[in-house]
Amino acid sequence: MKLLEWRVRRVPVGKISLILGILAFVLFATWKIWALTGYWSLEPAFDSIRNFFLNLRDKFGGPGELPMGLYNTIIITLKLLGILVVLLLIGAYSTLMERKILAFMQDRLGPTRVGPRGILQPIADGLKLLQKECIVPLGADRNFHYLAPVICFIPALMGAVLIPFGKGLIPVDLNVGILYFFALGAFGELGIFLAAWGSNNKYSAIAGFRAVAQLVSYEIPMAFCIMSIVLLSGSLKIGDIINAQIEGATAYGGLGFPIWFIVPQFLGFLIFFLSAVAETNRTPFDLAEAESELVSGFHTEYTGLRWAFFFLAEYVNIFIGASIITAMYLGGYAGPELPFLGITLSSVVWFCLKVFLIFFIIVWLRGTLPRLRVDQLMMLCWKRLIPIAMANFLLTGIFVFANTVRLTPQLWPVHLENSAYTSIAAIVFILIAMFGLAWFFAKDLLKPIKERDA
Amino acid sequence: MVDDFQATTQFSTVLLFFFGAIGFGVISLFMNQITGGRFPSPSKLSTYECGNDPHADADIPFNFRFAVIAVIFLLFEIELVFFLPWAVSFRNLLFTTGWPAFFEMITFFFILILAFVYVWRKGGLEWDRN
Amino acid sequence: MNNLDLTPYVPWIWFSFFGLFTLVMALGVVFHRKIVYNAVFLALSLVGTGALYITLNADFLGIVQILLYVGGIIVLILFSILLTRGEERGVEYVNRNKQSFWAFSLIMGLSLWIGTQFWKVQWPDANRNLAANHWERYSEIATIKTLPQILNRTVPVEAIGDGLMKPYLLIFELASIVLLVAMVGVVIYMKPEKERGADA
Repeated sequence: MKLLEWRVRRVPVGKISLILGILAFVLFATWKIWALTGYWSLEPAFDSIRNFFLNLRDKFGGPGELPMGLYNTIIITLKLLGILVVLLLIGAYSTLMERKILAFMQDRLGPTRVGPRGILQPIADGLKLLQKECIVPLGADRNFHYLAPVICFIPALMGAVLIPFGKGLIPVDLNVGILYFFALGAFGELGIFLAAWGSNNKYSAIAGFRAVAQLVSYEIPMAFCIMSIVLLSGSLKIGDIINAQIEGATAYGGLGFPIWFIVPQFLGFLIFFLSAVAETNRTPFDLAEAESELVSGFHTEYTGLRWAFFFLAEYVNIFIGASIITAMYLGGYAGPELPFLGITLSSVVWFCLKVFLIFFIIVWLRGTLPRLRVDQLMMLCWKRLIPIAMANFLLTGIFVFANTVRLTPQLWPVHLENSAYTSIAAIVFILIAMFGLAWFFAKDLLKPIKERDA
Repeated sequence: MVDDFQATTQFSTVLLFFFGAIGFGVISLFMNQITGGRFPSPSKLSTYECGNDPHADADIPFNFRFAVIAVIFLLFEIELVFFLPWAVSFRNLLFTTGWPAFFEMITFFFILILAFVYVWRKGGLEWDRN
Repeated sequence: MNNLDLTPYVPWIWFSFFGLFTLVMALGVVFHRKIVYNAVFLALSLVGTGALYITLNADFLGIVQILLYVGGIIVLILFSILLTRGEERGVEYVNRNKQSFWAFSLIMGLSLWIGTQFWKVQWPDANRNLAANHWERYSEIATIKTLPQILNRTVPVEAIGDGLMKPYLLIFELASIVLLVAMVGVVIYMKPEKERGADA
């Protein structure tokens, strides 16, 4: 044990980084060669695995054809490992990207020492964190303290299941689609709460309550925006939502012409973007880890890799949020085919470009805006974003209704029966009454806002 | 062969990702336990309070507003769950039931707005009640 | 050995796994002495329930279960615990009263009764046509005709929307009224005790 520690504490970080860099280059070159031979999709690789097992069977007389379930499991495991590596790289290099962008905005250089232009900095950081001691403070709840980082990491990896990396590259296009992300948010809340309560630190506790209340509140405007999108696309599946934007066909429930949903849903885009920034606890909504008042928030008492897990989860969550925004409002992987790249690869390039744009704007916000207060944060959500999102949803509903009626002659009023007219009249009467009631309340509720703003 | 529409088929992958996340987390944290060593000292093990000795446990007074926000959120979330299936099948419903498919939902929506306005007006959304 | 393909049984294996998981977590809720642990065990138990729904091909229901119960109700429970018992961190609660015998026998009786009901209920046969079912009468979506199809295929979200808008419309609208009443309840709940009597 002592020997191991001695060795670990003298890890030549620079050399290891160099080796890893060379390894990365070799991998890149292999991939390039592989790509140049014309295999864009991963199917040949999967087929070759299957053939490998079949050859084994032929040579040694093994147990017949490989069961389909096992074969699928192997493929899914490969996907899992690939996505895990991609996510780790994204999580690590998002930090570098953020530092570089912030440095650019503040007229600095950012990390430059490790590797050319600091390109190996995240790897050095990771190796450094691996050497750090794991501390559980006195009086802390050991189980929760150990469990929390893992629970925070689970939704980050599970969310990757639905990311549309490119055309035909969605790992699993779930039926429940976008609702799945919301369910994952529940795990995130639980993890943050366990970390905060399990640390026995007052700063962590305050930050934990704030974070959970914030996550919970900002889910509502987000959900209203998602429902507006679902109204336009007519499906919860990510693939269908992107197809509705690319094709615009009425078969998909689209608008009838191809258009990215950011155009009819610009208001929704703004609200969703703000909510996504708040959901990932970023500036200007980073009250949960406000350095100047709460030290480091709910991970104040964490060290080493366990601390890194929170950060990994945060950056992967930003990536996932940016991917959802891209898929919902910016047409996902849609874009013209690029020269020399196949359809699949150019769609990946377009997707990455759009995600990077969103990520850049999020970092830009961090470099520009000051932090909100708790009451301002909550008021922004409950008194501004939610009413606007609700109005947006209502308008979208009316628009889709009117558009569908316009496109289908059998829904025109001249074709309706008498009974339909009576029911419509009754409903309209109820509506007018409700509008009146709502207006009665609205007049009162507009007053305090104006006073507050003045 | 494989029916991609089946929920069980789809979620088998999700399940594998779940176990993958747990496995990755446990393995790397265990690795950190080994490589990080263990050198405890009283001041290192005390909770951080800007260098002072920690003052009692972290049982701070808890703002009541958080609980109220959680309740209101829960009610909204239930309404949203009711909205989603309607939003998905809205067009099909228009073809089969006609205009009521829209107005039935509008009725539901306005009752929600009524509740929201009521809570707002009664001060349920205020952070400080003074 | 040659034909050992467990693929068709995989959902049932997972069903048993999650059922066991849910039960074990529920036992944790009952027997653990720290109240925050109880809440976390409850959360895990509810996640297990959601997973059970998914193994039965009801993915929308399963996701909604996790979304509402873990994301909403557990958060509410945790907040409420901290609100009421903030000063007793890590205290282990020991049940000192003598109700355990009666509680145990009551639960045993209830389980027995529910178990007998399970045997009495005529479960839908795979070959039986459910023409009398109101789903059949009202739903025009072709995918929901008979129970075998419901069990073997995932119910699309569209079908749930159809159900809410056609056969269960009244209940659906009543639900909104119930939620309105609940909102009013929130407003009363958040008032200090002094004002509560005067206004409510």
